[in-house]
Amino acid sequence: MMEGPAVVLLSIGRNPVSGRPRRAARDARAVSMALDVGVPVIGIHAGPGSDVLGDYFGMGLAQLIHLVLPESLDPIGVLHSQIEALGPSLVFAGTRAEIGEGSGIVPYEVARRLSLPLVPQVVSVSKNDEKLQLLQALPGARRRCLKTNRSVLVTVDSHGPPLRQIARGPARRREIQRLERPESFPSLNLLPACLSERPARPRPKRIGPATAAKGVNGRQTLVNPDAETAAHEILRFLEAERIITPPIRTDHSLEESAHDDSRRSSQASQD
Amino acid sequence: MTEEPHIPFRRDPRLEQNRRRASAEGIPDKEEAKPTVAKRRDPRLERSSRRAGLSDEPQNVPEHTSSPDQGSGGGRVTSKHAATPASSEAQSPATDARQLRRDPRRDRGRERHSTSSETSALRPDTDPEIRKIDDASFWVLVVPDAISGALSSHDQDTIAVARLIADNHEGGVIALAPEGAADYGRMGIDRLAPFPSTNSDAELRLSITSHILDALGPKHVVLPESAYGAHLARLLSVRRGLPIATGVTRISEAGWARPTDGGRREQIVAPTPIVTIAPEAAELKLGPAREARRIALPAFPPLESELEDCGLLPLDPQSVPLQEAEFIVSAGTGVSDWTTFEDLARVIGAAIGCTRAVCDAGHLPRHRQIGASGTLVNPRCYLSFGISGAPQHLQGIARCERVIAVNTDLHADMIKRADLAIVADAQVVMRSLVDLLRPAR
Repeated sequence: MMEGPAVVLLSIGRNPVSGRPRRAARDARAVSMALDVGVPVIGIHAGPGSDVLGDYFGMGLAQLIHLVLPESLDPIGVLHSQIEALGPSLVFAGTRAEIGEGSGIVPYEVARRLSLPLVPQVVSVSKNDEKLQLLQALPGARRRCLKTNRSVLVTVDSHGPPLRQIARGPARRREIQRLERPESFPSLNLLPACLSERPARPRPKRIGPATAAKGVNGRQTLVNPDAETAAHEILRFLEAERIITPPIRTDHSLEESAHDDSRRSSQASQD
Repeated sequence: MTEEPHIPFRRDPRLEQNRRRASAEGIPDKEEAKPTVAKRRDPRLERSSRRAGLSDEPQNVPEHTSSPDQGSGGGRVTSKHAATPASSEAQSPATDARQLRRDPRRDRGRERHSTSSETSALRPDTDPEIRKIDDASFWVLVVPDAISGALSSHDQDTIAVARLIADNHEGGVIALAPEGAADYGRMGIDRLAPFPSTNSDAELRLSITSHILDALGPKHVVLPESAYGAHLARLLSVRRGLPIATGVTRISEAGWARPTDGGRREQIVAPTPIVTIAPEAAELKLGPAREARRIALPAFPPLESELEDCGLLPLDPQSVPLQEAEFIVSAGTGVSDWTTFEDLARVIGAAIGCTRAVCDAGHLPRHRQIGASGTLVNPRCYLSFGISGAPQHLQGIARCERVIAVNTDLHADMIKRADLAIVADAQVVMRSLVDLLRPAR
């Protein structure tokens, strides 16, 4: 399964300021990532067409298949059959589309139908000695390294290296491969029933931390403590807030306050 | 509770003076909202306690302001949340008097005295105020991310939404969350399915959630639209074929609002079995306690994964993207010992940030600047050294959940903003922190 090409699911994005169509930022990042792996890359777009699809060519993509579908039709069935026919070693997708529903369910459904494991929030993909090495972004700016020797579907969010530039020449010259798909597929019924729709209004932003999150420990001010006390107090605070893990100190000078310590931390977690 | 703290604390003479004056004149203290509520008499409460055959308790007991000096450091405690034994005693007889009607004002007062009424929160069985649900009309399951075992504000918003969904139709809330991360009872959780806190494996969470779905059949599963929650929700949706509403921003009678078309339009959708919640969709209010009874879960076997996990990459404090960082150590012009500062960031495992002045002086690169003209950050904890807190800098850290400040100026704005403020020289504190942390790591 590892010999196949890499397939990138592409969509049409929209500039958030001007509202004009553009390459979708997450999909474009997926293309940048896919081109760095070192296997042939095929882009697939299902839905109504647009000129901006050429932008993906401008980033260095060699082949782009456009499955022509009216906007009203669910692309999932067509996408699935097309990807299955290509037999990819890797599938890339942006986490969610910039226009339309934007629920981010399509990659998950594709992965389920192809029975591929899905790795979210991938930052980089590389291939060495027939093994794929994936770098995954975790909360708190951490990066996890994953290795596998089978096909996977990875989703790409806003993390990772900057986007490739668009070269206008190839963007205009290269030919998009258009495929009309006459057969109809049942549509995915995982989306909620829409009762009404209206233009979004900006929501007021919360100022400062939420009330419940505020001041659990209480406020403390220490004036001119000696350095030891101050350092202990900082560590105690960090442990109570679970910023750092408790068994960090093996200091004997602390024994006298050990009881007080445990009481405080339990109090903090109670609140 | 009455144990004497051995650390020298600052005593705020102005605050004490105000309180003395207020108690002498019987004027409610404006600056201190918390004691005001405790002092104010509640006629309804008094009536009910009289009816229950109890003597009327005086509510305006003078505030217990500070504990006598005992430490060698010569400081005293002045904390806004300082325990007030007198007023908590005054409340307890009324608590026994089993009121039929709940008094929201009294609940609020109690909430503010959370530290003093903690003993009752510890013994849920004996407290008559605990709301128990044995047979809910339906259940709502909430699965917070609880990264490193603590609830983020997004997690709390999600719990608030779950409570809201349940409250609209007299339902109960089950939380799948690490034990001890928070006071789940007061967050409105009726059942708690304890989860190993450090495990971030989506497959394990998925199998526990599926087990609860099979065993208790919750009507809705509520997750945060965040790194773990978003992934788990969508996996759950496609594997079990359940409809999902993503990124819901508002819950109302009319339906759930969610953004579409890249946030340009808003859809009102019918409630779905699975829902992911955008940050700030609701605000969690600590209410009257619920029981948060533990549900027994079977042991889940370790799952065979097709992916080989090679662990986390080491964190480089200098190159961590500041927007993503969970814990930031930051330097201002009060820092002169830069080697110790960088050592500290490495041993404590935090990203490095700084103020504009530090960047201007060339001590740190521009992409490390925090503030209005730098990066706006939202870590869980922000540890600042030698920062006085210019408005532009405070703007940059407005969304930090916890702030620790070390600064020599007692009256600096940063000290006022901080949850833990230390008035001391940054160099000395940094050095002793490094000394404390180094042998362990």
